[in-house]
Amino acid sequence: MSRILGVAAWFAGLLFFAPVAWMVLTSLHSEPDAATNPPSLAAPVTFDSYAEFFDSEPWPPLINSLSASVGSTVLVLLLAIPAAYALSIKKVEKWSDVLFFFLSTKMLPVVAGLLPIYLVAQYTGMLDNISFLVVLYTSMNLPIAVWLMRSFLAEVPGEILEAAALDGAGLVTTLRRVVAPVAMPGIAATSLICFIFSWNELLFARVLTGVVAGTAPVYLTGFVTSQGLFLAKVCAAAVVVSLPVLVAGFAAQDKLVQGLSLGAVK
Amino acid sequence: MPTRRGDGRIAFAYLTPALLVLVGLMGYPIYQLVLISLFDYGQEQVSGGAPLTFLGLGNYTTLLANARFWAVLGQTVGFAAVCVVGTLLVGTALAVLATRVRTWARMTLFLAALGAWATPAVAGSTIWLFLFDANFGFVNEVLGTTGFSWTYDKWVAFGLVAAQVIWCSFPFVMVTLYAGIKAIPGEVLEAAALDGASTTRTATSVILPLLRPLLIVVTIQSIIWDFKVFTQIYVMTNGGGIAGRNLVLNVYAYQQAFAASEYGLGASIGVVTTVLLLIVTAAYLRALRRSGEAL
Repeated sequence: MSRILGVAAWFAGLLFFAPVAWMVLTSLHSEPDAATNPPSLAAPVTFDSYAEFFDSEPWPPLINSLSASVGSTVLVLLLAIPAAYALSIKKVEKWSDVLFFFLSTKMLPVVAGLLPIYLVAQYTGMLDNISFLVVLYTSMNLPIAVWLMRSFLAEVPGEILEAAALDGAGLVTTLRRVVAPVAMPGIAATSLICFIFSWNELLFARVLTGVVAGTAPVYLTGFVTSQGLFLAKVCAAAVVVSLPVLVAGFAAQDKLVQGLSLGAVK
Repeated sequence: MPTRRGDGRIAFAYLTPALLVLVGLMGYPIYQLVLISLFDYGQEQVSGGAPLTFLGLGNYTTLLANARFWAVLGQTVGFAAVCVVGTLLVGTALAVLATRVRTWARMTLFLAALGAWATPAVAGSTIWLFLFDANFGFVNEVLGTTGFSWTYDKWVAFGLVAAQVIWCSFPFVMVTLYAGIKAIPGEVLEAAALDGASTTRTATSVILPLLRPLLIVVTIQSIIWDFKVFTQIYVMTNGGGIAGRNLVLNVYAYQQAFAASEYGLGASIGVVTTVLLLIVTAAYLRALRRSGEAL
């Protein structure tokens, strides 16, 4: 039985990893090798596509993406932790309605929200400005962050909080000294999830940014359009853009699982 | 813990910043969207070249009278349902599998999940298109079906896009549920085993109820995501398929608003989508509450 499960896991893992593996492999081949049919797996490895990608000035978009993702993740945490604290530790009446409100803001189709948000950006002179994306991604990720953080914070034992209150600890001190350490893995997991969503966001970035504030997915889309026939180059670009998330995710894998499992069975 | 007078107020103070940000950033666009949907709002009105004409519910009656809209709506619901069920099944199955196998097999599963998660939707869709290319695709090569187009037939194309969507979204479900299963105390499972519960019985009567709160979150998230799929349809069916037969509401709204410059009409599609999602999730949550489950 366990052997069958093992085989099934390997099969599923490799099958689901296949597109990524194929992408990495193709990116390491020269264009003629990448285009052969059947794809030549054993063709000589070359980093030419990567060299060409980095020659095409990809740093501004990559840095834009990084600032938008990190900036919005920090803001989300600053807003979500107190809100989740209020919802989990202090019982707010009708808190499930509050949670539903948070969730309901995610139901607006991005496409439909584009025009109003574009008009706001235009009116406030924030078009092609990375700070506007930071604010936008913050509101985009806030609902799920509050939902996740609420279940993590519910893990903090009530007695510790009472003890802190008896010792005269203020609310900020309580949050910082008592709650944060216990909920740290949960915070890490939430950050990673928010980071991934902002890093990969395309629609808002595409409409709201231009030459200055364009993000990596926007750059990648342009690259796909202009280099679409050059398979290896497209794959190399996609690998570079995916890499930060892949590395962060794999490094934080234990934290992620630990964090998510903290608040899971509640 | 004891509730003191004033706790409610403090809690409210903590909620306020987050609520304000959401009301400001999401509430305002929704208000604007509803407003725009009531007007004849095209390119000329945006640039100020023509006066606004108030249509009332005109855009909505135009929309509801359009057979195209109903077809797209039906497709969207069906497509989203397939994606939600598929994502949940794959995610749950792989989560369970990951808890039952050795380290290396588990690492492979996680690597696959993170890889799929990390790949931006545009890149993922493009790569899937290459893999499923009729003449040069790896998949046709393996299956020996060279020349078969995966994007020509309406339902085959929908199936391919659904598979891509499931591939993109199973990691969130898998990782969350894996963590959930891991968090179930060993004693609970041992007790079940001592009582002579079979594997199936343990799964349905012990593990499943404990996982319900998490399952609710991932289900709602999946419904919201899959109802609003855009990138995959847009890239893989080249903007909605031949003669728009692979359209879903979100892409349809984009076409109307941006390609056809009928912002008013596009906005009304957006409003309809939002209302539908609200109804579906509210009904789901109400059904759960009626069956005695807290959120």
